[in-house]
Amino acid sequence: MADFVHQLLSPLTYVSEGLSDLKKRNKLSCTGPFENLHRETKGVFPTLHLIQGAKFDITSIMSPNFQVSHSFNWGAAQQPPSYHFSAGFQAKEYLMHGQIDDQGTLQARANYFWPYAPQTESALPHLPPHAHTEHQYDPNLPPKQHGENEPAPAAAPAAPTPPTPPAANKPSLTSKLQAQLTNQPGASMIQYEQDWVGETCAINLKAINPNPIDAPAGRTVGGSNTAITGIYSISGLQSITSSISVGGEWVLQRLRPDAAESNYTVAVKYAPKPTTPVPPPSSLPAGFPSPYMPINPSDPSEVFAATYALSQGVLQASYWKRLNQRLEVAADVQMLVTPTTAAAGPGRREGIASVGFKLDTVYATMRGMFDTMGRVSAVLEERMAPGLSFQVCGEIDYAKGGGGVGKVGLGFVLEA
Amino acid sequence: MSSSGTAERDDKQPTTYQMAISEETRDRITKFFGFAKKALHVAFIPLVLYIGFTSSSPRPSFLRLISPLAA
Repeated sequence: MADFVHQLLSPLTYVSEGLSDLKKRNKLSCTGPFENLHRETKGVFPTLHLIQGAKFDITSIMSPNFQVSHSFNWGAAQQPPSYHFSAGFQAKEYLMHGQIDDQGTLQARANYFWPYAPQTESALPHLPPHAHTEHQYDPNLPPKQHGENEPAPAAAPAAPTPPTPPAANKPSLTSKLQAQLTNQPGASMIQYEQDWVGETCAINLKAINPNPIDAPAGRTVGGSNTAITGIYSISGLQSITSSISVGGEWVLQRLRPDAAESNYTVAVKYAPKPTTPVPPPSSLPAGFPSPYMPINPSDPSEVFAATYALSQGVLQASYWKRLNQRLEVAADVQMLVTPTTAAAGPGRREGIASVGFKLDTVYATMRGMFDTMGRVSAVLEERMAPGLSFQVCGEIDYAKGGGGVGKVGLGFVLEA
Repeated sequence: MSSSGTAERDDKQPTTYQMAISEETRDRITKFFGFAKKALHVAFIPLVLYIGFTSSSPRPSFLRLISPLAA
């Protein structure tokens, strides 16, 4: 009997052994979650760091885990002066962050990091189960982390070298709860997300404003009178070679019981494993120890990602490259391509392309970008003294009339 | 919980979740979630501050919360 069961299951064990063999030979790389597809270009472009008017931040770091900050904004044309208070606490297993503003709008976030350490021997052999949280950086990590097959990391030539940071894409299992609560009725949002990043693939489940007991449109006698409404999405990425991953996302939007809409997105990512370590900047004399943050040698230094939303016809393709330890460049194209249909009218074909760079010096970070809509923007953040940081940013839209419309922003961040 | 096995299924209707609750129950649940939302709105930041103060190893003084420039 045992023999019979063994014979029956042998194809399965053969397949699973083959799969873990594949992983052990490091042929497939960890992809990172689906929402990180365009993350590197978002870090390069100044769009998320632009402020308008003046901003003054005071951050109190009460302890390495607990941080409180007061932020004052004024001078923006479209927004009245505002005050934000935020408090954040991170432990090894969970993270809580809340931000409230002078209108009473609360943005709350709570993440729980499940202990998850995959069992294959090539990945993260020396770490305790919780140490793979996104924020934890263990300075006692041995410098050679990824696989016995890789050559010794060449990114650390001289004697007193900083330890290599952990890889950007690591296996993890996280539950996230996010809420945005306002005093206006109907404008609040709560989102629950379950994120699993495995060694070669990633799956993410998200539910926004789930309501399993909503009243359906047409009531029937003796039937059910509840309907599930909300926005639900599932997204995943699977690595098919050591450089290429493919994936997709399916979103079901059911805001009212009779209006359900689903959207599909497909994605592909090409991120070759680097064959040479990232070079130090050419302005540094040869042999000088690099003052810049070390980079894990197995992190890709070049990423091309493309996502295509089939229902809306939106294509976004981005390319990011790290040229040396302090310079990164990125290019991004967003296109809207819709066919001509009787229902929706004439088709459209529009696109915006943008190119940008990010330069990190020891005391400052500069980001600049220009795009085909005639918009040029740049941000400079500089650490003027320990605890005092200064930010200036500007944006000009040359396409708008009158020689261009511009926005300027100025900010100070004080750490007390 | 009525589960009606209808013989004909209209393809245009989405399949409904077979659960029936009374209007009073629905009202109670809605009111409870409305209260929970208000409670979360008011109490989340104080909860984060409380957890942060009690769990930080050099326990910071209470004055640091109010006046960020206190030592």
